[in-house]
Amino acid sequence: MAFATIDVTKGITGTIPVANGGTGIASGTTGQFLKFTGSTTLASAADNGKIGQFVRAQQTTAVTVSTTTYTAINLSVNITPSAASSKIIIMANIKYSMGLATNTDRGFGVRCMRDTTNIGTSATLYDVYHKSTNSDFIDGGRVPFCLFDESANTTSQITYSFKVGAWNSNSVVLHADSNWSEIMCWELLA
Amino acid sequence: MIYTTALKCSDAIKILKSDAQFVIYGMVDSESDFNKIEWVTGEDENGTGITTKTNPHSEITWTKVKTEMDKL
Repeated sequence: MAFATIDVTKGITGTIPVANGGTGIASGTTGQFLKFTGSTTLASAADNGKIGQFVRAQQTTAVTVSTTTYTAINLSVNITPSAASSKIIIMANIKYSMGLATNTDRGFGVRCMRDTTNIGTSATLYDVYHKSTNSDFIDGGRVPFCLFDESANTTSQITYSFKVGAWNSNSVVLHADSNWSEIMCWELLA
Repeated sequence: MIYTTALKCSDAIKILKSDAQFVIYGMVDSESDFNKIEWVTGEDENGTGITTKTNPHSEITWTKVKTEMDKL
């Protein structure tokens, strides 16, 4: 059986609609992606979600928190957004130890600050909690926190930091025994 | 977990005054370190602790704390 071929580089004008297997656009822009829009046509999309920069800081000097009010734990990092429309992802990996030779329940809550503004706080001071069941307990671990800041709205330097408050003011040690804690920030371009 | 001088100091303070609220940055190996303890005196409008290095508790002195630390 004869097999006919069509040269698609000739004889076609305009754009091929999505419904016909096309993209619905006449051309694209270098470095951009294609995506569906609400009308099911394809459009040349901006570089949504591109990471603009990444900064991080570590802390290994122990901080012993013995208060129910949120106080600094020396875990902070500076970032200067390249655009006011950028969003910031803040992540932390906080090393903690709760353990003494006393039969006492212990716990703590965490607060994230943008400069002096509270942008996220544990609902309770026992967000991380250890229930003592004997007279000689030790508990330690790492707590990951992740926040998405949509309200930075600046191109000036921002300091993100974490604070901790201890349940019932029972002592909790952060960055214990030279084990590191870390804070990281990503600038997510609009 | 190591029973550090910071933890010992924290325990000693709690023995002397159970409701004392404070934050210790680093270790407490001397009176000089003890004088760097941040004592919590209240909260600001954001619920963040207001601190001072001036010890507001007359019953908590370095001598008394050191004595308790040595017992632990």
